[in-house]
Amino acid sequence: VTTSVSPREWAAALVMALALVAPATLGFLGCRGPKLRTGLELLTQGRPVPPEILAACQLAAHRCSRCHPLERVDLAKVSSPEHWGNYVDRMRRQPASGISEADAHVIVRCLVYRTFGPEGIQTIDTKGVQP
Amino acid sequence: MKAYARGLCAAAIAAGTSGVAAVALGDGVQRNFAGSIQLDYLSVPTQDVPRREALDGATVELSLKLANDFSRDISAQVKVCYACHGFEVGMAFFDLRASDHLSFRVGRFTPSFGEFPLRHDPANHRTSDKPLPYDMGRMLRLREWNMSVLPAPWVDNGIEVSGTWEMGGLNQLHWAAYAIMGPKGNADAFDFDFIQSRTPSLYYIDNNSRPTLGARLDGTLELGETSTFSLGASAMGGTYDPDNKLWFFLVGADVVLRLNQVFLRAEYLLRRTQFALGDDPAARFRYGPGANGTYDDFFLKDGFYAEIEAPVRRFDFVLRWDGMRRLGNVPITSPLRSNSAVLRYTAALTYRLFGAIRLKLSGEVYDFSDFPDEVAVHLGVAGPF
Repeated sequence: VTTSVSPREWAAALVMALALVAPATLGFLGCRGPKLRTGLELLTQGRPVPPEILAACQLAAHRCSRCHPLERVDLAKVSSPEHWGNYVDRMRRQPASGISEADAHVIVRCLVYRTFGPEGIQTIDTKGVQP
Repeated sequence: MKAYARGLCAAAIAAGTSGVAAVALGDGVQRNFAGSIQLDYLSVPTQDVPRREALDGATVELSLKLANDFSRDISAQVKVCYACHGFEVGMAFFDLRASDHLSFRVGRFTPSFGEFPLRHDPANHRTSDKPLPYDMGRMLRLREWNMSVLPAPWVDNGIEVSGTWEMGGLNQLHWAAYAIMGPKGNADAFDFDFIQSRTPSLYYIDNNSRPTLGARLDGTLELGETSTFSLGASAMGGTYDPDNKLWFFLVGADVVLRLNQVFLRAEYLLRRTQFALGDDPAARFRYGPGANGTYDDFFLKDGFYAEIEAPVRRFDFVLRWDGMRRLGNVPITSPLRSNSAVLRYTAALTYRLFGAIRLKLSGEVYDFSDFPDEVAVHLGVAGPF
């Protein structure tokens, strides 16, 4: 006796198999793999930060993920605190960015602290880095 | 040879910047290099040879972007993309800002239309493909449908004026108006010919000496500290044939509800496109004249999507429902009818493998009004750098 399996049945079987196997496998890998930082923790790099910076990073985590994954922030390379000012300002000018001018000032503080530490904050407080 | 030359240009940009991801130049000029890659494999298990109706198999989407901040108010961006069309320039523009209420973008860019184009980069959206109304070649039966309502990213030459009003908290109002070359088609066109917009042999210039005009207005309302509701409306119109006789009008509406990190999005696009009736419409079209004895000289194409996106630790889950419809006469050779539709149901997840690199997996069920239903599976890897 021969039985034939239609492409539609193959498709259903494949989708079911993927639906069952893929999340289980990824979940297993996720539990065993290195911990990846997400959200706010990604911006603070898991380190204790002053309350003002924590609040700034909370705002950055929310605003920046409006248009792109937060890891984009993690990948950005800047050369100076002023550079972050212009960078954030360019993002702010994107249509519907949802970043106000006041927000931009706060977000820059988070990102400058993240990249240059307390000295970076001192620099922008002294020089008055825009956005 | 041209493709080779364009490849060299892209490689030169990449090589010239790869070692200098961020550079502070003299006089406060700062330069940043960024990019993204997606490799996606599309399988259509319900078809023996899916290639007959889809661009299946593996496709790569690469983008390389260079941003130059001359000052707080002047910047330039250049983006080179490589995908199914080979190397293309996706951005080459200056941003000039007089104030938050008045900015100018001049060059080659994606004009403000809809919400999805903001996230068109595959590293910025979670599914492997785009919603049907914005699809650019990954939908099944793309040729029968002549793709989507407005393929994204729609890249064009022109000028855009825009501005933003902040109204306290997260409340904002944003507007944009632009003049671009617009879509192209032949003098005897049934619809847009998207290939004409990316064919060097026809030049990357306007085909009819008339700009296409468009505008967008969108607002964001604060619902809570981390929740917003955004509403937008967009419109675009002009002629697309060389003789300036065939008009199109495109309108769209979009809503986004953000509840902390959970997004609910919905968009609707409608395009009215005039086509050439020709000297003998009876020989050209499948359907005859209406009750008044005349042929309609236009068709309507509309599309929508609604989706929910939720992150759970290293995962992102997306459920999407989208569709498209075409109303109006069709060429005599078209397999579509005067009222054709497609609905699609998508379940997708992404898994963050390492850094910003994500594995993307999605299953899609297509429900066609004119063809057998199909199942499609996407498996891909995407990430920015």
